[in-house]
This record gives sequence, C-alpha cells and structure tokens, in this order.
Amino acid sequence: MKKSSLLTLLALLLTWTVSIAQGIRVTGTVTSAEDGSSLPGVSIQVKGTTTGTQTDASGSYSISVPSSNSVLVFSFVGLESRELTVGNQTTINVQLSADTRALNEVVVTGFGAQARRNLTGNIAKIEGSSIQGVPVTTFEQALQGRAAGVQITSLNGKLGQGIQMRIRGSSSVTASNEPLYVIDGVPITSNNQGTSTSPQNPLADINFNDIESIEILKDASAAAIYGARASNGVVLLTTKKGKSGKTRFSLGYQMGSSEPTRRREWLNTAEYIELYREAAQNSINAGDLPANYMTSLESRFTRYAAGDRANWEQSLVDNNWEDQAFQKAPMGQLDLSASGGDNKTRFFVSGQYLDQKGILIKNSFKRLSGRVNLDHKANDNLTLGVNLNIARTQNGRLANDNSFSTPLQIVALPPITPVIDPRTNELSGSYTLYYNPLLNRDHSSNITTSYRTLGNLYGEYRFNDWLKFRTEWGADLLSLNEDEYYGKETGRNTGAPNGLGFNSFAQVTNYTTNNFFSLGHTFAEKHDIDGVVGMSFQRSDASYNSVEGREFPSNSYTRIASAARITAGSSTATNYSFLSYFARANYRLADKYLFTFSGRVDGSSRFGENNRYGFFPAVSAGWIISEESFMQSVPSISLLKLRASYGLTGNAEITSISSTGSTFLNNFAARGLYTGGSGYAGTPGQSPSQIENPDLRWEQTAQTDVGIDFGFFAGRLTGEIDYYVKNTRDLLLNVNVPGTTGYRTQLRNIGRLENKGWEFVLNSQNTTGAFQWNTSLNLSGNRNKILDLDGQVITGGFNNRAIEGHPIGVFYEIEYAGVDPQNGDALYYLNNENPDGTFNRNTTNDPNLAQRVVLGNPSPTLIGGITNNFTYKGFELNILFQGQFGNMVYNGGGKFQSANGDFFDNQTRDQLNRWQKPGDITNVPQARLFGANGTSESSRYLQKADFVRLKTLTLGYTLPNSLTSRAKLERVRLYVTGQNLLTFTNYTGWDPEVNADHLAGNIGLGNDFYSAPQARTIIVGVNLGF
Amino acid sequence: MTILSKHTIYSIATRARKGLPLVAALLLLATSCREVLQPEPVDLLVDELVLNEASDVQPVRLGMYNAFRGLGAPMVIAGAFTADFIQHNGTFTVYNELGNKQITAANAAAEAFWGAIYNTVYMANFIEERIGSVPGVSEATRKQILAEARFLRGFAYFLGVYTFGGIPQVTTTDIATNRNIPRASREEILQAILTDYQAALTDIPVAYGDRVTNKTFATKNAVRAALARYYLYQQDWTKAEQFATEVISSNLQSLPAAFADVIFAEYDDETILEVAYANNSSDDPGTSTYGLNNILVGRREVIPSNKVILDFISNAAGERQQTISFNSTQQRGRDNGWTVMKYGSPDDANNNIHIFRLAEMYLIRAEARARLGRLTGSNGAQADINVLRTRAKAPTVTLTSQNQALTVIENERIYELAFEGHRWYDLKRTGRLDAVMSAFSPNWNTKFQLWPIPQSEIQRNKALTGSQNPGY
Repeated sequence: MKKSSLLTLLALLLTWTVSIAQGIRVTGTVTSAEDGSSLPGVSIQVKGTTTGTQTDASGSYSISVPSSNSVLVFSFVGLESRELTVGNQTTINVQLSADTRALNEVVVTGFGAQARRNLTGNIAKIEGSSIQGVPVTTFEQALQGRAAGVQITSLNGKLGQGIQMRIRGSSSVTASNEPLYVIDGVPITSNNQGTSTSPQNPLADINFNDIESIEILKDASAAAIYGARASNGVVLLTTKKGKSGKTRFSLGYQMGSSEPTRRREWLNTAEYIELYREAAQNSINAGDLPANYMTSLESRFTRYAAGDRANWEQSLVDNNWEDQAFQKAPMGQLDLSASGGDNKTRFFVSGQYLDQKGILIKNSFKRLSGRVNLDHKANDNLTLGVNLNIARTQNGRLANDNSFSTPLQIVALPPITPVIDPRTNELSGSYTLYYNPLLNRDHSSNITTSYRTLGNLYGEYRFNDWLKFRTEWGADLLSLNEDEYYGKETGRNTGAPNGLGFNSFAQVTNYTTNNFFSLGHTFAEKHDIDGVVGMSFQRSDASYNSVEGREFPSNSYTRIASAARITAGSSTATNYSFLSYFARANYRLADKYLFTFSGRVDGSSRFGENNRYGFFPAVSAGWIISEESFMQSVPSISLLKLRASYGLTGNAEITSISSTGSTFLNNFAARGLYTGGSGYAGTPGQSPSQIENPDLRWEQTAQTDVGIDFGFFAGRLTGEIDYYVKNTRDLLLNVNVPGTTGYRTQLRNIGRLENKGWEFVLNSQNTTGAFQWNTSLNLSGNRNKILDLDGQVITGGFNNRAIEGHPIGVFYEIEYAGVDPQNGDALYYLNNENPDGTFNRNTTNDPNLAQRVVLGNPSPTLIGGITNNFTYKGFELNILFQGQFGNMVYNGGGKFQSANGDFFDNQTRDQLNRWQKPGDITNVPQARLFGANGTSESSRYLQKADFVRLKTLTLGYTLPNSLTSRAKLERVRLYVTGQNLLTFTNYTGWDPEVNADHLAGNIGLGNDFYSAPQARTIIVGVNLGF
Repeated sequence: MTILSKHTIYSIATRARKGLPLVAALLLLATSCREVLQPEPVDLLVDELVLNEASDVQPVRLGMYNAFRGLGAPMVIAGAFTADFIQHNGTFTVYNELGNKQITAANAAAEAFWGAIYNTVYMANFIEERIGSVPGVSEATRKQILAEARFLRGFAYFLGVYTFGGIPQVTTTDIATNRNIPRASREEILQAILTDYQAALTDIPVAYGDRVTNKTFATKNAVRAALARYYLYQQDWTKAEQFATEVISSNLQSLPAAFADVIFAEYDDETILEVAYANNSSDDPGTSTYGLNNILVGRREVIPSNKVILDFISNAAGERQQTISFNSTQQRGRDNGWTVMKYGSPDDANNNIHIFRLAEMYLIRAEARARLGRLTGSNGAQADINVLRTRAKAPTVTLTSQNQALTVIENERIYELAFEGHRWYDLKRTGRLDAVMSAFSPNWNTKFQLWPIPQSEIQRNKALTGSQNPGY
C-alpha cells in the first residue's frame, strides 16, 4: 500500500462529499413496526433517480433529495416497502412492518451487518433473549443444542470449568481448536489462564444477560474477514444497546438449586465383604496368594473399618461415600438493567449478581458484573459511544479429576469405612484406603478470583449518504488470582506435613483497534453495492507469577508470608500482536443475484519472518430463485435461495509442549531461542531451547460450502441445508530434525486433515393466532479425518490417538472379548493382522499379546437440538432437547471402579455379576484379588455415549396488563426453568457429556475419570419491567 | 443519566473530528510499522541476542557445560549397560534391549546419546564462531573459553567415535548444513579429537579457584587425563603413560582414604572432572528416562548382573564392594535384590557423574607399563595397582607375567570404575568383547561392537542413508 495514493483517494472522497451535498437533507431512523428495533441495511431511494443510501447499524440514515416533491422509497427485504413524499420535513422516521413472505432477520457479520436474505455465507444466530435466564454460569453452556454444526462440551460438572467448543469439527491437531471470540469488535482472551491442569474459563466472566445476539461464523465466506484466526469459526457477541424513549427498567431475580444428573450404584458393606473374600479365595486357590492370606485380609478389613471388626462383619458401618461428594447446591441471581435515551443519546446499563454453589463439595461460583453502553449522536455526521463492562468472578475451585482430593474420587473408599473415625471423632484420615477428599472440604481453600474489564470506544463519521468511517478502540483486561491453602490435615495428599500455600497472578492485557470505511450504494435501482475496507491492530501482553510456601504455624495463617519455607516460585511473560487489513464487498443484482468477496491480510508476530503476512480471501454467491418471475406462480414457496462459498482461513493459535508436558500457546514458535534455565553446578547458564523456523506460519483451511435456504407458506416453514468440506493443510507438527543440528525437534507446517459435514436447520410456525406453537430443529453431521501427520503418532488421554486415515483422537486400544466361561479369565482379541489383511479374532487371556486397534470415535457424527415453543395468552412453554450420537466415552476409572475385586476400591454393583463357576456366562471376569484379571486398559471400559437430553424447559406466565398496570408495572413475568432435567443414554457412567479435565485437549477427547456429572438445576424466577 | 458530562462529550467529539485524519492515517501503517509485529520474547532470548557482549560469555559457557553434562548419563549407560554389568529388571524397552543384548536401531538411548553429543558440539561451535567478534572479551578469557570449548567438543567426539564409529563431523551451527551431513571416517574424527585436545592443552587453566569449580570445569589435568585415555585407546603406551604420570605427579588430586567418598561424596579429592547437578534444584535429572538415579535406584530398571556381583563380593574388590548393595526385601523372581549405589538422588547429594578421576590414571599407567613390559619396581604396573588395592583395603597383588598383569588390570578396572562408563569400551579396545560377552549372554552378536546409528537420525538426515553400522 502506498501512502500517497491512499491519501489522494481520501482527499478525493472528501471533495466529492462536499460537491454532492446539496438540495434538502433528510435524516431519520427506520425501525421495525413489530418491536421497535432499529433496522440496519434498509435501502432508501429517491424515486425515479439513482440517488440512494442505506441505513447504518443503528437504523439511521441521511440522504439529500433534490426537492420537497421528492419521494423516498424505503425498502428492505422481508419487510413491506413504503413510499413517502418529503414535503417540508427534514426528519423522517419510518416504521416498516413485516412482509410475511420472507425472513427479515439481521445478522451481524463482523465489521457490519446484513439481512439474512442477502447472506451468502453461513452464520448461525442466537438471540440473547433465547438464552436469558438459563441457569448456567457461562454462555457457551446455554448455546448447547441451539446452533447447527456447533458442538459444545462441558468437561465435567464443576462450575467455572473450561469448555470445549468445536465448530464444524476439529481443524487442528496441535494448535487450538477453539473458536475466536469477539465482543463488540474486540477479540477477547478466551483460553485458560490458570495454573491448574483443570482449565478455568475466562468466558465465564461475561454476564450473558447483556448479550443482544450471538453470531457464529461458520463457513469461509463469513469467517474470512477474521483471517488467520478464523479456521475454528468465530463467535461474535453483540451487547445490548439503549433504545430511545422512556427509560425502561428491568429487574430479574431467580433462585433454585442443583443436583447431579445421575448417581451410580456401589457395593454396600455386605456385598463388598463378600466380593473381596471371594476374590482373595480365588487368588489363594490359584496359588497367587499364600494359603493364610484370609487372616491378613480380615485384618485389612478391620483397619479400613476404623479398627473395629464388628463394623464390617456385622455391617455396623455401611457408608455410601458417593453421597459425601455432593452438597446442596442453591443458586440465586439478581439482574437489574435500565435502557433509554433521547434522539441524541441512548444508554443501556446493567448489573448482575450471581451466587451459585456447585453440586460438588467446595465448588462455587460468584459473579458481580456491571455494564454501561452509551451511544451519542454529536451531530448529523458524528456518532460516538462507549461499551464498558467490569466484572469480578470468584470461583471456589477443585483439584483436577486425577487428584485423590477431587470430591468424586471418594467413591473409591470402601463402604466399611466410616466418615467420622469413632476413635478420634474426626474425619477418617490416616487409615483410609486412599486420601479422604472430605479433608479438603474442611481443611483447604482454593479460590480463583478474576477481575475483568472489557471495553471499547467508538466513533463513527458519516461523510455522505454512502460512505462512513468507524474507529473502534477496545481493551480486554484480565487479572486472575489463584489463592490456595491446604492445611496440615491434608498432608497425606499434599506431602506437606505442616500446610501448603500457593498463590498465583496472571495478568493479560489485550488492546485492539479497528478502523474501517463502510460503503453502501444503489446504482440504477438494481445494482446494490456495499462493503467495508479497513485495518485492525491487536496487541496482547500477559504476565504470570506464582509462589508456593510450606510449613505454616497453624491453619489460621494461610498466606505465604507465614510460611517457614518458600518452596517454589516463578514468573513468566509473553506477548503477541496482529496487524491486519480487511475488506468485503457485497454486490446484489436485481435483488436476486448475490455476490460477496471478502478477504483479510493478517500479519502476526507469531509467524516466521518469511511468512509474516498471510492472505485469506473468500468468495461466495447466492441466487434467490424465488425472486425469479417463473417462481411467482408457486406462491407456497416464499424463499428459495442457493448459496455457495469458498475461501481460505487460518489458525494462528500455535501451541507447544512445555518441558513439563503441558500445552501452552507459543507466541514465539518461529524464533530461535535460548533459555536461561540451563544452570551448571548451581551457576546460571543459557542454552538453546528452540530451533528457529523462519517459514513458520498459520495452519490453513480451505472451506467449500454449498447451501439452500428455503421458506414455505409465507415464511411459516423456513430452513437451511448446508454441505461443507474443510481441508486443512500446513498443520503444525513437531517434526524431528537430525540430532547433528544440535536440536531434536522443530515446529513445522506439514500435516493435513479434513472435515466434511452437513447441516440442517428447520424453523416452523406450527400454529398462529392465540395459541402459538413454533418448532426449530437443527441437525448436523461431521466426519473428521486426519490425512497426513508425517508418519507421526500423536497420543492423548488414556488411549486417544491421532492416526492418519482416522478421525482425530480415536480410541486405540486392545479389544476386550468377554469372559472365558470355563475359567473366568478375561479374554482379549489377538487382532494381529493376517496376511490377507483381516484381523485374527482368536482370543487370549494375556493382554500383552493382544494388538491395539482403532475401537471408536470420541467425536459425535451427529449432533442436534430441537426447541418447541408454545405460547397462549400469558403462558409460554419452551422445551429444548439436545443430543449427540455416534461417539464413545472411555472410562479411565473403570480399571479401579469396575475391576471385579482387583484391589480394595469399592466397586460398581454390576461387578456382582462376576464369573463364579464353569459355565457362567457373564461379561465380568472372575474376582481375583491382585489378579489383574481384565483390568488392562481395553474396550471393556469403552462405551457408546449417545445421548438425548431435555436440556432446558421453561414454563412462564406473564401477568395481564390490566393487573400489572395497577401496580404501576409494565411487565411481570414469573417462570420456572429446569436444566438437564432428563438424560436418555445407555452410558453407564455418571454422565455421557464428559471429558476428564486433566486430559482434555485436541487429542484427549471423550474420557471419563471420576468426572463429576452435569448439574440438574431447577429455578424459579421473576422479571419485572417498569 | 449523566455518566459523561456534556463538556466531556463535546471534547471527545472535537478531538474525534480533529483526530480523524490521524486515525485514517492508521490505515497506512503497512510499511512504516513492521516492528509492531515483532514484540520480543520476555522469558527467553532470541538467539542473535545471546552472545553479543562480554557479560554474555559466561552464561553461554555455562550453557555449554550444561549440554556437556548431558553426555554423562549416556556414557555410563553405553559403557556399563552394553556390557556384562547389568540385567534388565524393569519395563522400559530401551533397557530391555540393552539388558538382553537385543539392541535395535530404534533404541532410545542411542538417540539420546547422539543428541547429547551434538548438543555439546553445537554449543562449542557456537562459541568458536561467535567469541572472536564479541567486543570487550579479554584475550585471556577468549583463549581460555575456546580451549574449554575445544576440549568438550573433543571429548564428545571421543565418546561418539567409540560408541558409533565414524560419525558426522559438524563444524558449524548452520542448521541447513548440519541437517544433511554424512559420516566422517573414524580416522578423521580421531584426528579432530587430537587436534582439539592439543589445542586445549595449551590454553586451558590449571585451576579456576575453589574446589567446586576446579572439579566441575575442564582444567589442564582434565585435558591430560583425556589424552591419557585417548592414547590408551590408541595403544600408544608411551604417551598414555606420560600423560597419566603428568596428572598423577601434579598432585592436584589425591586419593581419598575411604573409597566410600568416591561413591557417596561430591567433588571428592580424586575427581579430575565431574559433571555437576545442583542439589534440590530444578536442574536435577530427577526421574527422567535417562536419570541414572531413577534407572538404577528409583525404578531399578537395571540391576547389577550376577557376574558383577560375584566380582564385587570377591576379596580383591575390598571396600569397593560398596559400589553395589543388597536389600533382601527386593529379592524375588528375576530380581537379585542388588542395587547400584554410585548415583544418588538429588537429596542424597551424590548425583554428579565422574568423567575423569585419579584412580583411572593409575590404571591407565599400570596398563601402559604392563604393555611396555614393566611389571614391578617403582616404575612398574604392580605399584600403581597396589595404590588402589591399598586404598580399597584389599590384598595387594604380585604381578608375574604380562598376561596375568593384563587380567589383573582388567578386573581392577571393574572393581574401581564399574558403572562409570568404561567396561564396554575397555573390552573393545582390548579385543576381548566378543569372548567375554558371548559367555555372558546368548544373544550377544559381534555387531554390538558398535551401537547403531539411531534409526531416526538416518531417516531425518538424508546423507546418512545406507550408512548404518553393520548388522543393524
């Protein structure tokens, strides 16, 4: 780009503005007659001329007309056109009412907005109002089942926990697979900033009652405007704007409580004793235990039973430990907002206080959030405004699923152990089979506090009827403090006999500016052109520090100042920047033929110097067949549109594996680096840590999407069908390099994978009139396949792998073949490959002889959701079912929980079906204490995890006006909402929606490991409007 | 609602209007602001910034020793585990292959050793290439550090050539060159080692200061010790004797009275060079796959072979029997209950690895003298051996013939130097490897005279295609 030529252009534009600004200037806003909302993108023509303009994002317009006789034509697809004579008016505010023949939805597209009718890309839109009041802590959970092609998985039932979102499948093996999140134009920090291996979720800082709409950009045409960060899709959050007029207040309060979606059945004391006596006897008979082992077994029972033989022998103690892991989980949430303003200034302010307890002991979540959104029209040409959100969240957190101290690992304790040791009248501690997590409940704290400021300022200058300039300056400031203390009572778990304290700070500052011109013009009544061109810059700096201390005088001192020994400490920092140029042009011919060209040039500090800038173009076209004259004879078809798009997007979220094995965003992956940590004999030294790769760049996805939008019966039945193919290449892999270079691996762009899928969306107004029944359905299927990993095998989870030719993260393990009816041995298929390519299906009782094979896919092949909404008079009933199919879950805890009495862990009740005598046909092998009979990782612990869930059900009643107006209220609504009320599944674990937090990642998918189930929550609430 | 006063809004508006051209100019950032895309790493240093001024020299030198330290464990693993000292007792494939003499080209220890050699070579080359142009470095410092670099590089190649045979000779830090580099001949590497050692001998200091630095950084005695070992391997008995004598008679090192110090203490009196780990710190090898304490004590992946146990419980070993210890609770199945004690955990404080110590010099000189036919007398092999015997409180020996003397010395090297990375190399240079090892293991194959070039290396370095060692 040459400076001089652009300046010239700018100057030219300004002169032109002056020269055509003559005649009468008319301004105004266009709103919807239905709900008063402003309508962007409305076309305004001076009748009989080529002069025209469009309304901006706030529905305002300004146009010059030759005389007072001029007639303005306001048209917007889906709405009925209106013609108005100017006369002596200079302000003309217009309301357009729905043309029931078509869709009128406006969709935010990133640096603009567009009518859904004119859209050629694929964007899913979720109205903020549809997720308001859903009793979850973070908005992604509320989106489950509401958008086609979007799979959202809560790792477990812990509040504030990280969440995995996959839009049209996984498009990376090592880089991030999470979408880019953008709030009001500012890309925000969305990845885990905590130090625990169970990720926290920075998105939980957002009060989603502030959200007006959520747009999910899925295909290349929609997403390419976000260039190098769009391969995983883009989630645009738009917050609420004030509406001019009387100041409206809205007050909401909801309260309720949660419980686990499911509990499992465990052995009681009598069953436990029976099983383990039998297991020991079997091992004695087999000669694996000495003949007198029964005596040691009984003394072990007595030890676990708090030293009292009668406790186990007479079932005096019969403890269901699982009950101890859960707590009463009340929640309360208060929302207050006000919205209003005049013609010049509009505002929206809101506040929220949420206080929720988790279903697991010690798990809690509190959020205090305030927002001010302000828009001011300084004059006819200049609008400016500010959005500012300040939030504080406080999350009572828990150890990861792999910790003895995480509450649900309590189920491993035998039922013969009492909660309170009668000998001391304190919690059973030192003598239990494993560490007792209740000690953490009483003697530890783990609080993560986050302070979040999200804000942006904007100014928008309108040069003339068809050109304006907008500048946005945004910041996302995140400060996260983890404060942990583990008292001396927890020493068995922490290894610190006199207490352990840990404190960490993370501070992430993230600045963005967007500056762009928007253009819109209609030529010769049938050529509609609009577009944007601009630049954006983002810089993010993060710093982290932590300190650990041990040896506290007592539990009254919990800060490290009181620790006698500082045992660990560190500080690190990182940063990155993006400089980008983007443009988009929409061309609409005769309102029938649609074309969109978009593209972005993204430069990032993350890329190598030979590839610092990437170009991400996309093109799409649409044909609204229903506008053709030959279709006018088919009145039942109100809309028929064909769409196709193709484009390139990138993934710049480059990650590396640290020396400790954890994954981190590597902002300097391209650089040759030295590390200072290479001491020698206690003296500091530096040594090379990373080989440079000046060619390093983004992973690139080429996506093709073809789709049909349709509407029947005057728009009462509408829908979309899409088919897409996403081909990702240049996957970032750690490629081994010859040792002669002095290095082992280098991060290179080398692999390939693909996602293919389809999406189907159907919306139907089943009845109209007093009783309204609407249904919306979305279904989608995705098939992921890894094409090229340069021969590498990348592992994750218990047995997940990325293997060429298979979907990402397939379960690769030996295959369980059931139980030998003759002797109760666990059997496995040999599965070695025969010369003809088939697998040897003979069985063996030696798991080491069995070959590992691909056993299943952790990602669903079909996901969907169906919402039914009924309204009658003041009543409304909203029911959302959500489901996913075709995926499997591996229970890594199975080898302990369901191990036919292999060790002393309490067992699931199904283990009572163990093989006992020759001829028994069962799937549970003979009980053998220490016998490892069937306890190898194998498909024994792999299950289909298809499920359908009654996700959200809301029954509401809005009091009639006659009643409310007497109380000087505009609106009173009472409602009751249930979340996760019913789950239909054959999965026998706690919950089929699971991914053990310490293993969750790109490859680590579909694992269960003492992971808490989701919460079933029931709340009652009230909304008051005044 | 007056969150912003009218005045504020007005001033923002004016500023916005005035600022508009400025904002528009932001669009033109394209060429002028390239640096906005180059924020520098904060925790880590970009390589071009690493060695630019005098104060950078020390940390880079320490980084070189850090890399050199990585050679310690592989040296011990190759020297002891390839030979008849150990049996496999764990689950790791890498040690199963070494223990059962079924070493394959995919063996991870071979890859680790190879990597450690070239990490050291890279750092030495890096210093050699850069140090001349770093301003402010005194000539003395420059010479000294270059000497250290050349010595460490020479030693890395010494281990490389006797482990793998002729290996690629890397002379630059240029990645592209080093990616595609063929094997050099054994003779070329040996010559390069000698050149490096000789150059180092001139400029390297006799001492650095305190006890720790004198024993953990390369001194003149370390270079002499390396040359003594070099000439021993070359069967140049005169030179071997000469350099061993130079070390011994320098009196800078002395044999501690108790052999236990050799096993359990750090920086003991007789150490000429040991690679050092700080205690209780993050730079400890800890539980890594190649951490010696982890392999030998923590996991007991390998345990002493019955053969070496018999050697140690013989009278001739004396106090050196403490090299291994027995614990009856560990004895079951294939586990004989014995453990190698030379490498402690971080908390034990003896996790350093000896590279050269005085006892080896006595043994080199004894062997050289025996080869030269001088068995007894003050210049004879017997005296040197008995120095060690006496220290170990073991009976002294009387040498009667050259053959008997060589057998005594071979055994003496077991008692004295077991698990310090010598046995396999010793048997190779004396030509007794196949005879000894065939008796020890039915799987022995003469191809184990050399370790395989790591398979991964052949796959990644095109110039190595087809040049695997024989038999792999």
